[in-house]
Amino acid sequence: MEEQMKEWPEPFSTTGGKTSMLVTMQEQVKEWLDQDKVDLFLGYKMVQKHPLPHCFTKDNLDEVDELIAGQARYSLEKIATKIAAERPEIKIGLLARDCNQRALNVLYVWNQLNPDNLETINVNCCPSKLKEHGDCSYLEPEQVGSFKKMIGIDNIIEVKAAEEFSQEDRFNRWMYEFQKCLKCYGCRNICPVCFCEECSLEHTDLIATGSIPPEVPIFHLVRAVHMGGRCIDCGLCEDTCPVDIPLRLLYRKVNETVEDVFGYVTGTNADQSPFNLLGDEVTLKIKPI
Amino acid sequence: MTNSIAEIEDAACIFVIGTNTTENHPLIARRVFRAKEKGAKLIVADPRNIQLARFADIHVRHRLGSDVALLNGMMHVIIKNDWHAKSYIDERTEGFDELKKVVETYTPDKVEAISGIAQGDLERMAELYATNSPAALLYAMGITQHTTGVDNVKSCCNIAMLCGNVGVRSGGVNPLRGQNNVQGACDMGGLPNVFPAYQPVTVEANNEKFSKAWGKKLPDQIGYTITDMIPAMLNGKLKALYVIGENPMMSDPDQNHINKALEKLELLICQDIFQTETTQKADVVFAAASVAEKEGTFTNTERRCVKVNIAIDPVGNALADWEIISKLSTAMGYKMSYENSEEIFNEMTSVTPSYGGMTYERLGLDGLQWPCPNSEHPGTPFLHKEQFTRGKGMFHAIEYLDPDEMPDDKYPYFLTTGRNFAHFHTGTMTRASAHLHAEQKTGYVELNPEDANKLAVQDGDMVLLSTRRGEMKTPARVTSKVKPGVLFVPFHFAECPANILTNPAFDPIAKIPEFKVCAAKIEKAP
Repeated sequence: MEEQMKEWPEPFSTTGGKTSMLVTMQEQVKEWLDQDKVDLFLGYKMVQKHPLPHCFTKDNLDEVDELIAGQARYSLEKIATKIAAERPEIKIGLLARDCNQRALNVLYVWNQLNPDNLETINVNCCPSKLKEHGDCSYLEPEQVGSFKKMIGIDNIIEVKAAEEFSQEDRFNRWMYEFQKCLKCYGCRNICPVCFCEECSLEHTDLIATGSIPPEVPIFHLVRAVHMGGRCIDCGLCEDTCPVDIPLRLLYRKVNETVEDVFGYVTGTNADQSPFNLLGDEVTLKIKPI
Repeated sequence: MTNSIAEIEDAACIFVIGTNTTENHPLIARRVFRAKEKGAKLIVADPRNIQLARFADIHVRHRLGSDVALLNGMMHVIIKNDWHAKSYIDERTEGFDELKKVVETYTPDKVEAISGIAQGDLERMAELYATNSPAALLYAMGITQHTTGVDNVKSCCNIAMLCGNVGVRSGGVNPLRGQNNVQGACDMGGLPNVFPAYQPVTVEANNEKFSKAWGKKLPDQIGYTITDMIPAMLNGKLKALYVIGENPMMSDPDQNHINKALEKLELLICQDIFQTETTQKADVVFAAASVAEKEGTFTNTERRCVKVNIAIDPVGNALADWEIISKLSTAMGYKMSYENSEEIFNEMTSVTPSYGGMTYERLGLDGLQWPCPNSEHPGTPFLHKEQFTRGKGMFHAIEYLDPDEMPDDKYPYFLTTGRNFAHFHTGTMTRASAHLHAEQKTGYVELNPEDANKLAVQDGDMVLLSTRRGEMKTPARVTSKVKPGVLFVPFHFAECPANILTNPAFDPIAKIPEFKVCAAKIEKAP
């Protein structure tokens, strides 16, 4: 049970003790909560050797000493979106990696969060090994099996490498990957920028119901199209996928097209998206899960 | 499971028989995919073209109920080719000669006549299983829900031992349990013949131990299985029934029959989180807390005891199951007063050797796998490592028997039942979910296009299904997933209940009904 027994390293620590950076971060959060700059702070806490998302509040300031920023990755901004949908007035603090920041930008563009009610503490991370304190789990991806490399798609290859397969080969490889899909909706449910009230993946005129795999390849292509101008390349969908479909690669390709055609790099700022055709109507409603 | 879920990833061969893993155990299917992608061989034996079949090195759709013949045939080929694990068999098992004598008669010819598996396919399956080690065997209700359920399971054990696959990492015989806690319920003695940890009630020392622990003289006779209870209700021997978290009106075979039996009862008590087809017949219904509203443990298919915690307080006047049972017991004169679920857990571990080393604290988030006999024991990822529980592994020589009911002129089709990925069991929980309802709104019958053509039935047309027990209307799903002559019905849907059709004939030892095979007729609904 290697996976479950895996010991997570101490946050930002090479010596075992708390680093000054972590202490500074905790003090900052306490101050924000204490001075009502934020009503709650979303971060991580170690629970029985597992780093889990946690909501810190003023009622329990001492607990902030347990706030950590290790390898754990979760779409905290998705939790924030749900809180804001129910209680738009709440001021939310958030521990943000680069990917969380990009997601926040998209959520501001799409009126799912109000930047005035959000404060972030930024932590270093992906996408580069060159970056100090980079500790995203993507920096040391799991090795992909030999059969998958031969028949399917190696999850860690770049768009360019994937395009080197002949068209027929590429098609077969993607079809292999899609046929594994269990229709768990994990990719959508974890996605920080999936917030539509009505999801096309559940539209019975588009995608037939009642059996798995879901219609191949339409289910995945519908999602891919919807990721154009939305996906911020956090890779949580692929982390979540129980059958290791290379979703991140697929959406990277889609966003490459978006950049080529519209010159829009998703998530880099909170300016208007070329896809935001509906104007700025606020839709802070909770999507049923 | 003899082995653990994560170990499946490192198997060199996976033999999937009678489990539609992607639909029913998706997170175990994840391990199967990962093993395959690392280079493992995959064998799938299932009467339907299940999703995993697309990824199999070999897939056979054997005739319903022909599992013993199939497994004997594979063993025949293995022994003939000298692929069996001779030193393992010598050192760790007994009864090999008797087994050999029986499987010698299961020539590929004979097996083809019974199961419909082409000889070449049988040989290929045998070769892949025997020559890629370790090989993990996975099965589920497709093996057990037969009048020969025990024979089928023993045959799975036979082939696993024959190739030295029991007691090794990533091998084993792995029944995938159908509920989160069915393993735990059995471990706790939720069976008519044993106390917790399978200590027989008929053994005097056990009886004494538990009588002392619980301060009450306990019965030393074996009680009724559910299959025994139904005739006992009908003949008046059983007058009251207390049903906890089960929906026998949907989950027992031959609905008309179980309905009659329940009506004869003087008292029916149900305890559930939602109304079900059974609670509607009850005299008393206790509202039970759901998983999110209670504290306790579940023990899953890999023998892992996992703690659950209260996320929200119980809604309405619902109580945790243990609180309801304690109150009822106290009202009936046997006082049960526990402070919390942990006190019950500690009492349980004190009389249950395989759980003896577990505490709430030790369970943590990851839980522990039994046997875990003392407080230093790390738990057991796979069983039978040095030796089998009984010492030597026992081969059982088993002859193939036909299912109780075979197609005939009147009922010319084979009918089998199972689950759809969107729903769980009798649908009491999943049919309350709007999303799952959108995925699959009602029942259906899978029917091969060839048969559909003969009957002039189109996809979605209503058809009338009938067996010797009863009849029902349901929409046809025309698909080559099933072979011509075979029908499949999911059993989640009360409005077209599979159990109006299924055969109550049962395995003589395990008393499990033959849900997986019966003879049926299908016609276009008038």
